Amino acid sequence: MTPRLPRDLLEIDLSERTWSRSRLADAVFDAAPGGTALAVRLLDERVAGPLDPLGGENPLCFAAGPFAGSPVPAATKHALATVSPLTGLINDTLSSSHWSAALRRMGLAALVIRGRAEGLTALVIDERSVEFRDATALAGTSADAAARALRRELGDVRARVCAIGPAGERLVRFSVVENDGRQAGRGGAGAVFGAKALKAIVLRGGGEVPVADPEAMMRLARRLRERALGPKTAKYRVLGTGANMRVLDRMGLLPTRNFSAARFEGTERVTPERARESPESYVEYRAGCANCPVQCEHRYVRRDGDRRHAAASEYESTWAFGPNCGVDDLDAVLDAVDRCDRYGLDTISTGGVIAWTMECVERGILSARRVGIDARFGDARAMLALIDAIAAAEGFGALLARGVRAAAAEVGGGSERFAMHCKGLEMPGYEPRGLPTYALGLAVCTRGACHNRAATYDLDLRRPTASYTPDERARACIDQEDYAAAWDTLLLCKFVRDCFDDFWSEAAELLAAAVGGTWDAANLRAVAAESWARKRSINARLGWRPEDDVLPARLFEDALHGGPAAGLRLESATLEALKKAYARGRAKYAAAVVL
Amino acid sequence: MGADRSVRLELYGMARYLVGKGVLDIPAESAATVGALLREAVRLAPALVGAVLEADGTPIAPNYILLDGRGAVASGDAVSDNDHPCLLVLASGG
Repeated sequence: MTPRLPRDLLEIDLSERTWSRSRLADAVFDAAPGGTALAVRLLDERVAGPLDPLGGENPLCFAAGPFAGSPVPAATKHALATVSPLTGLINDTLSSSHWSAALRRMGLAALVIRGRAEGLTALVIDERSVEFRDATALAGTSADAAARALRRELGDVRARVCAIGPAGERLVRFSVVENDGRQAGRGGAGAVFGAKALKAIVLRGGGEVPVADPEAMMRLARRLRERALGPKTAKYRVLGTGANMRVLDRMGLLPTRNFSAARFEGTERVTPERARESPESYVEYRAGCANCPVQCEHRYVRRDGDRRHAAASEYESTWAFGPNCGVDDLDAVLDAVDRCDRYGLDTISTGGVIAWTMECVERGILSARRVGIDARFGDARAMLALIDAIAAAEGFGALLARGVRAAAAEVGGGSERFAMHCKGLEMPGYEPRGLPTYALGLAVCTRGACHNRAATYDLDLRRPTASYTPDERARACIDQEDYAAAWDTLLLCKFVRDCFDDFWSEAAELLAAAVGGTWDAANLRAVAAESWARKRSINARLGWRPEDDVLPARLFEDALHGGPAAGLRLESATLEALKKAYARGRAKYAAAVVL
Repeated sequence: MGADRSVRLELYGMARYLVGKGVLDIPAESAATVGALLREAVRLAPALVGAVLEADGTPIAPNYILLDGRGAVASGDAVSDNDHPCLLVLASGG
């Protein structure tokens, strides 16, 4: 007997306090088997033109990965697609763990939420009903505290909760949605929750997640699990991504002091590896997502500190508050990360707006009086004070809470030149001046400056001195975008990407075991390409134009100094040639783009 | 290169963790090429085998061997007096 796979869509209208549950057609899953492809498809069907990202009409489209709740390791994840209040464009963001599996255990493939509640609300969802629960008592709480309170109120310790913290309630444009200690981070989905007066979504109950071919599933899942416990993921298990800091510094590719330099003299003092290498001073806790053998998260706290505040030490977060703010105090950096988690702030964007503020103060564009504190590079106290102000959306923090593009537009006075973003999304921690293919990937990314939608730096890092034609770099960028779209559709964690000999065919085999059907490398590639095309098409309807695919002027005008990448800067003509080659490569989807 | 000189191999990430220090000094006469350098690294630091290097010194993807933190090199490439080879790995995604 064919199992009844989780293929329902639950649609909720917060304004009308209504909901409906329906079965999605099988044909939907042929083109969008789950994850980002499905979330983006649902968004695509609901965005007709420009809209207010903080208005009730902006949909929140959740879709579970097709392996969530199954035995496939490192794959219990979900996607969330919405229109970003930071960029005004599509924001497809990911999170993981128990909440993702709970969706499918309730028979749901997807969840769409529209409208705006009258007062702060928690949605409590089980297999038969949706409760619109008053959440005003949870105002101002962290996502974690809200989850604990809701479980206690409901008397259900197994309830799974995603929620926003105070930053989301205050509409900080780069606030996150958190579940199980994981975050749907970049692009401000937390503010979309906040604008809807939606504090939390609770999932209760549900059964086992059926799979199409249990025998094949167990065999393939076991193989991936064994590989995921081997040397291909050792760097994540043993060190975590924080180990990147020393590497990028050595390569001269570590953005420092708001991208004004690419090596940081304080790297040895602030690298998260220092905490791991100092067990006499720091306690380490390992954490990770449900059903993941990698457990990549390495949390640290001082031995004499409050262990509830052990902070995650991912590279991007520690970079954002360390080198990018010129702060070489590891304890302050860990404190900054912990505060962001409690407030519900995206660490990359938070670090980005603070680094911009510091540069503007140092250059005399902003006064200490206007900022409220003499925030200069390296000042940990000012950095922490600004995080508090952003989360509260108070004083100068209220301006920074709108993101670096909006803040620079209001401050003016030349500050725009130091606003490091692409299409409104603050830059991540890899120096583009030494990585031309990566620069192309950032510029054309549908989400703005995101390093996770195309690992285009790979070509630059493996053969940095090689000469590639624009067409070769564009081809690499397109391949990486489609590759990432496939991973984000299957919602396999990219940390196991080296655990496949032939990703496309092995992943198709896994998919067929999970959801049935005749999956192969070719139709999986087609799904990925369509997912990308839909994102671009949504952006076109939201007002995006090719001329928006630009990078900050500093990357073209200021050459790097010091280190192996000294003298490098981006050439405008080179990037334009790459973008033209990229457009040619994507030409078969041009109709979807220009309509 | 003279016999009294050595090439300093910089270690990052897993390589540094496994060896327990940030550098390996390889006798210059054993480091004429990148391949020879890495084979000698295996001999001096067998903990690298299986996670970072194969037994014959080949880097296990996604580990890289770069010169001077910048230029990727291949097994047959020569190592000169002024080179600073780095064995490293990057981790990103999620």
